[in-house]
Amino acid sequence: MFKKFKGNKLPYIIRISAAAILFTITILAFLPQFKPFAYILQINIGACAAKLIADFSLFALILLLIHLLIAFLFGSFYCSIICPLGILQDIMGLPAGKRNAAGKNCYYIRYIILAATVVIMISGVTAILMYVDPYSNFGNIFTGVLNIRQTVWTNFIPLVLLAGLVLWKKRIFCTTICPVGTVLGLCAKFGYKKMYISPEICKKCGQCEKECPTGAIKSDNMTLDNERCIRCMRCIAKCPGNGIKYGTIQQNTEFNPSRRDFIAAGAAAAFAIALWVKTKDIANAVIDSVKKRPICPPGAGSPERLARMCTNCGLCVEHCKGKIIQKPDADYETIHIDFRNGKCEYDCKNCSDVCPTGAIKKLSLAEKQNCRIGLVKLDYEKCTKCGLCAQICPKEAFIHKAGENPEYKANKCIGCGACEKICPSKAIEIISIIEQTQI
Amino acid sequence: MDRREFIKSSILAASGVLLLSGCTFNSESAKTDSKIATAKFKNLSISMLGFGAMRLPTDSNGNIDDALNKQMVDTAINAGINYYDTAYMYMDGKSENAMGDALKKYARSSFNLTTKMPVMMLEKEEDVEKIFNEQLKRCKTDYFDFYLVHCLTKQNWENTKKYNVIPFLEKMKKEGKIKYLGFSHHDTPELLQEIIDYYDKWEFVQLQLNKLDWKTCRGEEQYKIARKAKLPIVVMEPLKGGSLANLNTEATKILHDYNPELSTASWAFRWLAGLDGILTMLSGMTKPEHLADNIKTFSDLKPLTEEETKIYEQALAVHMKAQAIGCTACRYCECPVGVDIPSIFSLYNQYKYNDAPNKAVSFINHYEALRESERADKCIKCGLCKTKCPQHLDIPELLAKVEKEYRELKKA
Repeated sequence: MFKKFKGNKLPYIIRISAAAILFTITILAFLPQFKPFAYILQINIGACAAKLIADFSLFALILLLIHLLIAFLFGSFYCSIICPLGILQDIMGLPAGKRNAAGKNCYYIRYIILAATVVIMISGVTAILMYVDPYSNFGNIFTGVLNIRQTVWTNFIPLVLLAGLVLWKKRIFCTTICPVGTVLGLCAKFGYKKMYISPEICKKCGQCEKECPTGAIKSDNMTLDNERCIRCMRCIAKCPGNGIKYGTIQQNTEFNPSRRDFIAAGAAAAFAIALWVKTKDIANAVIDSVKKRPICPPGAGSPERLARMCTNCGLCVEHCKGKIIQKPDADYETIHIDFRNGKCEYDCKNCSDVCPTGAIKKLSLAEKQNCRIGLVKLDYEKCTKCGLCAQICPKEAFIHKAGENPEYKANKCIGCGACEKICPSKAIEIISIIEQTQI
Repeated sequence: MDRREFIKSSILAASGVLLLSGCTFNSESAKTDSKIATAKFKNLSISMLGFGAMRLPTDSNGNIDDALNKQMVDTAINAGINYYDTAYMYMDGKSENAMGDALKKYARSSFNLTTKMPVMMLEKEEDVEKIFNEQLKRCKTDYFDFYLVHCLTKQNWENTKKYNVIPFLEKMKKEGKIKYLGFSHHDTPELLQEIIDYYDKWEFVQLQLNKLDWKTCRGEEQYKIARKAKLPIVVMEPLKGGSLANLNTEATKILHDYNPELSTASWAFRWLAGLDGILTMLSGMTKPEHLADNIKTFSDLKPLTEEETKIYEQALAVHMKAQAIGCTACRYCECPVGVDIPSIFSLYNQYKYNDAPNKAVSFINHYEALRESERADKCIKCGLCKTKCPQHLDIPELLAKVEKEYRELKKA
């Protein structure tokens, strides 16, 4: 498969191998059998950033800084090795053959998207990432495929859009929309080690330019835009004369902002300020989008908080032991619990463990077992006084004497749904609550 | 001598008369001799008592008693009331007409006429212009001094934006058909803030403010938002639909014992007079006695003293305690499924202590204005509230009772 490459193939092979390993891990992480792998997904930059706001942890902050430092020292290797959506784009692009990459750096669009994303996130709406963050989109797409029977068609919009973009201009998503790509690009642009074309060697054959998935190379004037370069190593592999170098250079990457840059930055700043002012409205809009009040996974806090924080990657959906966490559907615009399939297993807190964005906060098992996510509505007209609810309840929230109606002690109930599942006469329904509490 | 000087000197003259009469005047002398308190708005002087035309005198069939209404408007004009507030929907759509008839004999510049765009009735953008022109015709005028977007709730605010109401009203302002533009608000402080932020040319706002709603209907928060935005406030429901003029016997006795000269309603107005930034207080006066009493109150409008405030709070506490449901709206109950317990009980109490003939309709309307997820039928009888209620109310039972009565009223 590497025959078409005439140059130094080793860097490319190493990069492809690393990417393949990490992509496999990402795929496996979404399968319930491989729960430890799910923790690895916390390295995704979008997840780290969301976590800083949703459920701050020092670990996420350090991880984020390491990512930025690596990008500054070596360039955006993240995009070509770690980013699952990036690898997915590479795979989707395989059958399409030769296409043109995007020609220029669209400063306007990418800086504005980045600024807007950051401002909206700081305002407490990390859910914005579900539209722009590569990890969240990958998760959404992948879990949509995994749950294809329950998934509504709108879940496939990102997949179709992404495929369209890839077939049109290769990795144009990464260089124009993706805020993670923009941040890393900026680090790399002013970074230490850079890619460049050696003018002594280059014959301007243009093969590297055709190979580049981000349009970073202009072979006519022998420039390589490190802001857009994702270090995929294809150009090095392709160049017949080893004319593409990787090292420290001064020239051709000086910061030389044009008037257009200033206008773009100004527009981005103005837009960000406008958004800052409108912050509350946006949060409210997200809150209003909760059509019906869902039952949320333990640790999510409240439906409003979940709507503001969840980036919809769907990792918890796959890892839920009781198979009760569902992706957004026609009734609910966020992930939600549906007790028709099972109950919230008393000894399981997978959703809280795996959630990489902090939308579901980390809980200890004791905290989870005391976290109320719903309450029982008991229909005494349907009740047959069998007492199964009192037997199954892990919190002793029902007191049952033979031949009498069970007595419900709401103050002990956590809404796990065990009673709803076991009740033979369907007299019990778990009702969602407005805010989760520790009992 | 311009109007301002004239009003100033007449106030001076009035106070002179009061001093001469040794501050002991009866309502008759107030009606004829004194001018009522005013507030400044731009270059206008607005009477702090506004003539509210949502409630007008009616005959035994419930139709507007035009003769009596005209007589009351005459009295009002003579007393110096220069703010007349009607709306397209009031009195089943007959209020604008009645007010137009009653006011047409006075010079148009001698009073301020206010009406409102019924955004809840809009079905298409053209309706806005149609209704506005109809209003001019009904009120027999070429312009409105104050004009409001009526009853902004979440839904109505959506309509306002959807049918481009504000741009049209702005156009009317340019054409001189509206002098000052504002809105009346009936929702949460959050929405109030949103509306204020949305359009920076609001000139005043109409809010429901009174001592009873200060905490329960989050009146205080709304007041603060309006003050922060520097919007003059027109107060509606200063007597909370008359209920603050009719406290129960025990509470009334407390007020009467303190000072038998003062009417129960006057305490409510004077409590409001302690707030800054009030432009006028709208009172829907259905009887000449109401008007006379209000004129008396506003002729010598003094905020409650500290001592009086305490007495008033005490009386209201006694009144609240004796309500059909003894909820004090402390909101400790915090229903886990989101039933708005204090609001439901407050509506129910209002309904129980209301003498108005349309009280059932009013209760149903107010109850249905609550979000569906906040109504009594959403109670799951978990009983968690019962353990938290400082008044030891059996909340689930009471909610069931309210829900049952609501259903019965709805049927009837």
